Amino acid sequence: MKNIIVIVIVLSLLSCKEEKKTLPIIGQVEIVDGDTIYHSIPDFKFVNQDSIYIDNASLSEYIYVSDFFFTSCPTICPKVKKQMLRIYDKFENEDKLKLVSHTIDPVRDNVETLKLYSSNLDVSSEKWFFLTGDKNKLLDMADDYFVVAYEDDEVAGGFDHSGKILLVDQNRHIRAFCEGTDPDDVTEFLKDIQHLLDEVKPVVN
Amino acid sequence: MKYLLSIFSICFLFSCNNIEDPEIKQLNDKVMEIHDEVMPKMSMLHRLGKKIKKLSPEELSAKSEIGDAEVIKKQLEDASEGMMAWMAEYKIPEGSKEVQKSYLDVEMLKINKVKSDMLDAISNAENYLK
Repeated sequence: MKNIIVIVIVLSLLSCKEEKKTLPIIGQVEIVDGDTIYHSIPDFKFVNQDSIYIDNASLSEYIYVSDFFFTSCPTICPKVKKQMLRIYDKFENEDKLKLVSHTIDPVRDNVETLKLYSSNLDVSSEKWFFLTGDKNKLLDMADDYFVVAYEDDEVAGGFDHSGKILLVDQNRHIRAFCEGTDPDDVTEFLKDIQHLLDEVKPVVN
Repeated sequence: MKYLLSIFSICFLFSCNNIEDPEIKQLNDKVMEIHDEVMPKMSMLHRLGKKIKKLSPEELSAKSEIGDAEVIKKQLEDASEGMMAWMAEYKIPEGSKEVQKSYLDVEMLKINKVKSDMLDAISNAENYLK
């Protein structure tokens, strides 16, 4: 009888275990000379709240969660920032994950403003980068991200009214995104982050 | 961190609760309605500017009778900056209902100006690029 109970418990635990999932690579796919080319985050170089330049190379060893915002945003951004804080809280001690928030208003959001903003959120500047730089380059970057997220760049909204949060892997590919104003969608996104972390972290025997 | 998040949420709720008077809330909603109507067009301003920048000297020359590319680009940039500046400055002041009401009356005029500047800039750029 005891054996049967043990078997039932083991089977129950196994069925509860989160299924391993490989996230897709999101965005346009091109076939060039027989090779499949996936969309990837373009080259960039912006400065963070500690006046340190951040580019793709700075992030090459990490997966990262990315969004676009501006500190004076009256509507969507506070809601999205609250969800970004949820992500930060859950993965605060996860070395392989960074958070990257790009301002789309560099005229007002300079390094000093972003430093104050991140200090007010009480987050580590080693973990969560707030980036500013050339306005056109930031907007180009946002457009590139959200064309992927929306698939149709002409019809759907762009960076301006988007609360999208995206997940980027170590190869600069977008692997998942969610609606940052929707807590339920973010709950699912947290699982996607964990799936990608499981994918990139070496298996410990 | 969780404590801070709670503070953050409370502050956000508190800032919303500042608008207790139904008339002030209604006026604020109307101002934000105009903002929400045109904010989705911000990326269009950037994309149209990019399209104009990509025109070749021959194309610019062919369009010289329709308008000046530099003027149209500047109009797009100014319209975008107008919206960003308005959002940065928009904050209902503490004080009496009358003070808040007159502030919102002025803001309604300002956001309508932001809206018409954006729509004009988009229309001019689209005509230029036809």
